Amino acid sequence: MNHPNDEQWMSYLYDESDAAQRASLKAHLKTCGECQTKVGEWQATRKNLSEWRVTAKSSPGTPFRAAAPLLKWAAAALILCAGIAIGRLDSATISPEKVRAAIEPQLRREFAQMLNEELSMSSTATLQASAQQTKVMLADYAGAAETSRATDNAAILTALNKLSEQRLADYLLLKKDVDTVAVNTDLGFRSTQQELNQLAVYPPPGSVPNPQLK
Amino acid sequence: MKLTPPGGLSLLFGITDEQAMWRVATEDDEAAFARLMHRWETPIQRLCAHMTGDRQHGEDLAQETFARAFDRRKSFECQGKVSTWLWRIALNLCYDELRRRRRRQETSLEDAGEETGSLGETLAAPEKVPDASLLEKERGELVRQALMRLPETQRAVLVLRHYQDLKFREIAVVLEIPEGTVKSRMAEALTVMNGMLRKTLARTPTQPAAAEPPSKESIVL
Repeated sequence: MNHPNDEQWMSYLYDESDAAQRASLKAHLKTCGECQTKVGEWQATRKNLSEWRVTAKSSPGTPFRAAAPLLKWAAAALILCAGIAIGRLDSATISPEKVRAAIEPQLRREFAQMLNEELSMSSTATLQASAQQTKVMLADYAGAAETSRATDNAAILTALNKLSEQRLADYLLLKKDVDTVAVNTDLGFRSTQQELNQLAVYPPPGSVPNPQLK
Repeated sequence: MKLTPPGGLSLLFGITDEQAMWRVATEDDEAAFARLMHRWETPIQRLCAHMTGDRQHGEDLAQETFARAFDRRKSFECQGKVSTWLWRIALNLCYDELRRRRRRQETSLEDAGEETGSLGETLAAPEKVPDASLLEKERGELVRQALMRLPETQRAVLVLRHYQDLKFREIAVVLEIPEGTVKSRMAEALTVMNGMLRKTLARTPTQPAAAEPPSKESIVL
């Protein structure tokens, strides 16, 4: 008989073999006493190994808080069960059906009431928190919008002031240029008039010379 | 090349170990390293404790592992897994510790002269039958002692597979040996442990002969 090798058995033992291989090994194990002994010893050793385990220190931040509601419900269920058990022990002569029939509607009502209260409290708290959050967000938004508007206004005012100053400077510059042109023009007119006057007193050729010119 | 998301610590909660390690290697990001420590501290402690047989040593070696990992952060290869890298560092530190311990034992035995007997005899000395109230603890202690007698190469495979629950192919990557070799070592380790535990656990009366071959019906098929 061809026995599977140790490597194949290790994959089988630690559940790492594929389905076909596993089925084949399983079939072999059913018919081979030698392999049954070997695999059985390994399985027993695995079990024994688990008797020593190092328990490492629990890391910080254990999610106890997340499990708290569950623990609360578990504690409530435990107390309820204990109550029922004590009740049953105290009234051994009463049949369980009667006890059940007697307490079941009551328990159902109480559970339904507890559930409703829990849901109501939860939804109320959620709505309140949501409304509060919305208010805060709206206030933040309004504040941000106001700040943004104020900043924009300040920027526009600054730009307008700058523009006005620029226009004033340009006007003064232009006025100065116009004045200069006017003065130059006046001087030009005067000079031309003087030249025309000189030209007017100048004698034509062949006329009596001006004694003053001699 | 792996991409890392920008941002600070808050964004680290959405990145892989490898991305966190890349940040540690390239930017000396201590927050990312703290996150890696938080994730891997307990598994590394367990590995070291199972390898050395001592919880306190396990904690010390785990600290040393992370100190060494941070020192050698630049040598982390981005294509590898952080876990594989940490397992290797931890195992090497365990081997160093076990080597030191062997030297100390050899020295103390030499000092004690011939009265003590051989190391093998000392380790294989029969255990006293424990008190009934301590039987459970005692059986765990017997398993621990047997594990400490296992050759380190087999122990590493056994600890990684049995106690750390790594797959055989993952162990092969950590130890850089073929997967077939890992499985052979595991089979040898279980066989040797069976031989040792059969002798020792049989002396504890509250449990059935632990390593006796179980009946055919009890074998998990």
